[in-house]
Amino acid sequence: MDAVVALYERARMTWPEIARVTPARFATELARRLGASLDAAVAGLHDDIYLVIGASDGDPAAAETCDKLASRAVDFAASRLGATATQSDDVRSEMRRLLFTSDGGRPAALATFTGRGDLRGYLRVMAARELARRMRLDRRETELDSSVLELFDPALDPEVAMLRDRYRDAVEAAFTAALAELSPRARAVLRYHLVDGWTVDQLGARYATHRSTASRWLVAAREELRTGIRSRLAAQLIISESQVDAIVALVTSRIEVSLDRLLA
Amino acid sequence: MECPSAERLASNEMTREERNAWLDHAAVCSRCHAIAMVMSTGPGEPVEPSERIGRFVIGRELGRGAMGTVFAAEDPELARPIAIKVLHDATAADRLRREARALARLDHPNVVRVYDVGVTGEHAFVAMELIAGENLRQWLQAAPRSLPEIIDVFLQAGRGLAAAHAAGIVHRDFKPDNVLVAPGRVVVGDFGLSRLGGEIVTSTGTSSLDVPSEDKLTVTGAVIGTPAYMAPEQATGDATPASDQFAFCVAAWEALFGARPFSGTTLREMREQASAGRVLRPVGATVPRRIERALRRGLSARSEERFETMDALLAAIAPRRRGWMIAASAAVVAIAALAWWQLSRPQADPCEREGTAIFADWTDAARDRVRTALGEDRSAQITRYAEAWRDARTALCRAPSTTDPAEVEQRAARTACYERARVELARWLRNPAVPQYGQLGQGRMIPLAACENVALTEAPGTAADPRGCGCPYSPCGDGTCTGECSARAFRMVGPLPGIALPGRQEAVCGATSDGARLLYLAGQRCGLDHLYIADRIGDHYESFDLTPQLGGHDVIVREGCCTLSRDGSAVLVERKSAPGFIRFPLDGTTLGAPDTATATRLTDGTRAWMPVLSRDDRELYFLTDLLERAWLYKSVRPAPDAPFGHGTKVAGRAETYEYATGISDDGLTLFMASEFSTRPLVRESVEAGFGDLGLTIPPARLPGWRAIPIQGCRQLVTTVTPGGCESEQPTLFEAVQM
Repeated sequence: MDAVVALYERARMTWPEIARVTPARFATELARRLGASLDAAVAGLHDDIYLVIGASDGDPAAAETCDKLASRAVDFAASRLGATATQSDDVRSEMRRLLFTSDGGRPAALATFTGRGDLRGYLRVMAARELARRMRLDRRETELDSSVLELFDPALDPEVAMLRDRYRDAVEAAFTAALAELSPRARAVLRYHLVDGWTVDQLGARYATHRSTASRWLVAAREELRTGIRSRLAAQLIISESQVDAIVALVTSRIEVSLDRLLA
Repeated sequence: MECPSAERLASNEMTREERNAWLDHAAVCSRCHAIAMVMSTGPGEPVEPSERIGRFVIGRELGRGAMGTVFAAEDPELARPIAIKVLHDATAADRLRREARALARLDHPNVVRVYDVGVTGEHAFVAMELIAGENLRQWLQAAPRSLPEIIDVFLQAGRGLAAAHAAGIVHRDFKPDNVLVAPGRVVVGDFGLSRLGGEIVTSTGTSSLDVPSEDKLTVTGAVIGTPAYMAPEQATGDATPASDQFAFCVAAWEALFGARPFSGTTLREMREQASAGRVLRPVGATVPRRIERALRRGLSARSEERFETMDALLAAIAPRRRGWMIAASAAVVAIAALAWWQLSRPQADPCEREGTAIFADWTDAARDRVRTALGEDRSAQITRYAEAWRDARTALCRAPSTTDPAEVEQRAARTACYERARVELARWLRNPAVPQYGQLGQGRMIPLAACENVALTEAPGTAADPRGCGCPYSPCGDGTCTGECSARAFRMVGPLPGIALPGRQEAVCGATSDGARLLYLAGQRCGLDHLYIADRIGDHYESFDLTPQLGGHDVIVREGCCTLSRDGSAVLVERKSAPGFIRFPLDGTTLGAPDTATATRLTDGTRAWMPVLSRDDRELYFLTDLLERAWLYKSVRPAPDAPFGHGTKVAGRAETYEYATGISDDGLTLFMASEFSTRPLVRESVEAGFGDLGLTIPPARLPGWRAIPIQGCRQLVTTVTPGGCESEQPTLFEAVQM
């Protein structure tokens, strides 16, 4: 890979007057002459590699384009993550530093970009990562369960107050345990749907599946949660089955309400 | 799980399973979670001019749709201009490929050509033929289009659809915005939602009808298509060529009638109207019955009741040509249509349809709104109200018909009462939280019992009297108080003697102050194409057909075209070449030379119609069609022989399709009518503006669509055509103030 680029660059410097041989043409022709091995290496490479090489080499137009794309990636990520203008600006200059300069043992990011992915996507991932760091979203990890719980907080409903007071600990423990026991997929779709507010369509699009499949996952995840809570409560509390049903219904009705609210 | 590198995440190297496993991981990994939030789906970054997408250089934006933005672009390789559609969301690339694949299978003059399709980075695009023209919606708005012109454009677009259907492609989103009209060529584009026939079932083998119930919450987000043009079955994802036919008919109806066939703002509301067969037909439209019937069939809620194919529909709306071959094939279509008509008749009970009309307003969405705002009890109460309305309305519709004027009047008044109740309910439902409407039976909500036995001597409202009389103001007076607080109602005294109408439908359109001379339109079936003058001789009227004398002039005879001056010495007829009227003096029954001074272009709208002249011949009221609605306009001239000036909008008018029917001799009361009622607008002086007293004239709430005041407005001439426009016994009735 590096060899091809290096060869191309060397070749261009040797014969600067030749303008017709584009890198694509060069690589294609190399592949034709040398066989499938290079073809496999070169195939699927993104055009952006040409731009990135230009920017790494200090071509002003290429550098400007890369900087603009990086800036747009930050804006995009910032709007999705709800970052402030200050946070975005900080990340913008941090991105510039990471992309264009090397320090210590860290090479410039543009120098290591291989062209296997799309530059915009790459920049977005970078921007998201840097923004998350800047916004201290790292801490969110431990917040997942409690944030979901908050959404279902039985205290929100006066009807549940009595049951909550009496069985509060048991209900919450059952809820948390049931949540923890969910399959990774069920947990993920519930989180994306309930906390991040992804619609069924967005779930489907991101998981590259039909919306009805995504929808079934959600239903199954809720059912899994419901069953989990139910079996725990039935085992722990010495109350009648109908009372367990009532509590589960109350807790899960909060899920329905939350769903309604999120989907509205 | 290890967090993948940025480049790996941005690449296409991960398999679907790997990517989904990473998504599951990202739900609990803070580092990856932020990235998952930013990963593309949903709107990508906007494309900017001069940017490159693939090899194409983007130019100016041509249009923006739900799925993508269309730009003019240049193909540098072939050095030709193209149109490029860039999808907002690259994850829709599957649909895009479907579009390209579908279109590649088509080579038809009425279908847009596709050159290239691809995905670069986050942008998915289709490069297409650049058509220099405007879309059908713009084309329709740019200038008044004649019926043959409109039909021709739709026939071409329809052929494009038919070709697509023949190739196994369903468009799924046919609408005026997706049809391009270029000189000499009409092209259907934007097959973005089209699917090949075999791909409708999902990968898991379930149809979208089986998706779990909570999907209802987002079902509108998932259904692709444009609600106003979508066939009912598309809501469940079941699009077929018949769905395109439905969309085609909605667009054609909109183009020909100037309004969409179904009202309502949500898909569900429109769907319910389509299912109930409730098609809105604007007053005054002059679309041939044959075409209207074909479109109505295409608009059937049940796809199996529509035409078999697009070609069959096109044959039914295509102009009839001379020659026995074509006549014969047309006859076959006509017979087929007739057979269908007879077959479907028993299912589509018109009275049931009348009754279920209420559910076009009392929809699930409305129910949810009321339940949220006012609670379950109130919602249940309104459901009972709607059911009672349906039963009463259906029963009234089914009552045996009669020719007794008193009964006709009673029935008409009851029908109008129910319709008014429905309209008031609909108004209230738009905002159920408004306190004065909060109590059913109070405010403007009409108790159904009131419609059971409408008192024909009902008082004309109790609105404040502008002249301080302390009594209800008499709209028909000379501007003074009525002197007593008695009812000011009208009574129908029976058909006007001597008017034996030659047609099957008629409409009064003018009368002299003394009622001795009337102007009316008549015609076979539903077209009003003959203009008659009727003079009272002794105790009956004698009619004379003015139509032949109008031949060769720049006028058109159709619904709402004409009026008579208050002294009977002139008629005003709609001008054909521009929105306005031409005045012809009348010597007895002989038309004089047209008075070109009146032939000014009166409005910027597409049509001026339903004219009313003041007694002094200086004020002209008319409706103008503007921005898809009808507005009441007024035009004034300084002297009776001067030209009328450009019209201006008259305030105080609330309902769509409410029009002026007459003005009192003192010029202080303007009578307004809609399909439900007649009401007066009054003013203090001729110079002042009209105000609405909120009065309704009870007896004129007749199904007839015009009530013209005569005899100082103490009498009305009103049109009553029982049983719709195909009735055999149209009648002009006279009503007298009691």
